[in-house]
Amino acid sequence: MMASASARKRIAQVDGRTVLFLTICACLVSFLTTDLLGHALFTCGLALMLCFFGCYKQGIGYFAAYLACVLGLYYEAKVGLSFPSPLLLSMLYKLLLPAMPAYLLFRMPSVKLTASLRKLPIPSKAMLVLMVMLRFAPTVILEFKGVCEAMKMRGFLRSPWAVLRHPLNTLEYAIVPMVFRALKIADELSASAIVRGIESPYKKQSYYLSRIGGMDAGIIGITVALAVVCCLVM
Amino acid sequence: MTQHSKKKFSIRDMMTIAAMMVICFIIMMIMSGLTLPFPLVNLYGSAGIDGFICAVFFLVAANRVNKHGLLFAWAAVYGLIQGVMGYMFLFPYFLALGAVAELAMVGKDSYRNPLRTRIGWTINCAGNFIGCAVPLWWAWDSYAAMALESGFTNDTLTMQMEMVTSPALMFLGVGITAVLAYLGTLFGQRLLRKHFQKAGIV
Repeated sequence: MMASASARKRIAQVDGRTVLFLTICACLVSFLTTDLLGHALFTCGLALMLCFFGCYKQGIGYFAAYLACVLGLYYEAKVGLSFPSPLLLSMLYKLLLPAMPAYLLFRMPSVKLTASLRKLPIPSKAMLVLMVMLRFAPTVILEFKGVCEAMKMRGFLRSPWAVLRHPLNTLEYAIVPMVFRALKIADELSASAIVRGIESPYKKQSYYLSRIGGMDAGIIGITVALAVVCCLVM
Repeated sequence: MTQHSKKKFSIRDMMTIAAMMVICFIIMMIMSGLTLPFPLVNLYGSAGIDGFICAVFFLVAANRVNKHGLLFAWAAVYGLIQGVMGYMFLFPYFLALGAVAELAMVGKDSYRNPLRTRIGWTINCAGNFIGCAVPLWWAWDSYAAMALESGFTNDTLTMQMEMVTSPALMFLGVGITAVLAYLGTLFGQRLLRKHFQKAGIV
């Protein structure tokens, strides 16, 4: 219990730029590696990193899903099956790699992430859009699940046949509440940001100290070494 | 001063754009996953289906924000995501596409003009379809190696090669995308009138 709590505290100690670097690195490795073993090695490294930050369930879960996709793909290629689609499995296993550090990015306190991103040489408005997009994605997925539940309750998603028979109506019933909810959240977020002085021209300070420490340097070093091994050596 | 501040994106505008873009990118990912088992639909229809569904979100953002630079920002963020995914050479292409789409929106209140938004969005979606072909023109060999390793069959790759090397098939793909994007804006305008304008949010 104590070990788990201290592992979870590590996420508050790590700098946002480090996790962003990890995410970009994972994206590049996922699409640049030509060897499956190298890809799997990097995924294993990221799963261990999730465990290091106390996300044991997610780390093991992501890696298990990755293995299931790769083994499924291998089995389908060997037996000649085409369901589930090999392309779908290949896309899934490629996307699971960047999804792992992205999960860490979503878990970081937003104030800390903002403080870290402010140190990057990007315009403040572009940074704001980036921040909102990062924080908004899980919210949108949650909202979409809510909309789907409501549609099921009202009998709009009874069967695929019903959806195919009235595709535009189904689309309308899904899109309209999503837009209303998204705009409401966007308005609340903008009001909150304005109240916190985001439009102030003065230099902003944060409660969180944003600097690359020993742990960040270690994580960046390990990630770069692993990426080089996976992309260039293997 | 007031005129100048009217031209710049406010915090509310940026939040609206970011919110609509996130929904669009999630839809694009879902559609890409759903169309992958059908190579023909994935190649020729995927960009068009995205354009059809996402048109509503673009129109909501356009009518709400009504400032120049929206289509450019939209294309730039899409290019940035493609770049992060490993196709960095696509980023300048999407910047150029955004600039061209933005040129179609020159003029006052063009983002609230249904015809102009239709043209702008159609250019953006047709450009997205052509963008899918850029990696293939850029480096066919490395793309083929990566695609084969990712589970693409030889048939799919041949189909892709035929599509990007035949002007007639490229034209067909651009046509399908443009028609679907155009229909999407018509559907979006209907929803805007029916729901969003009545509710007073655009």
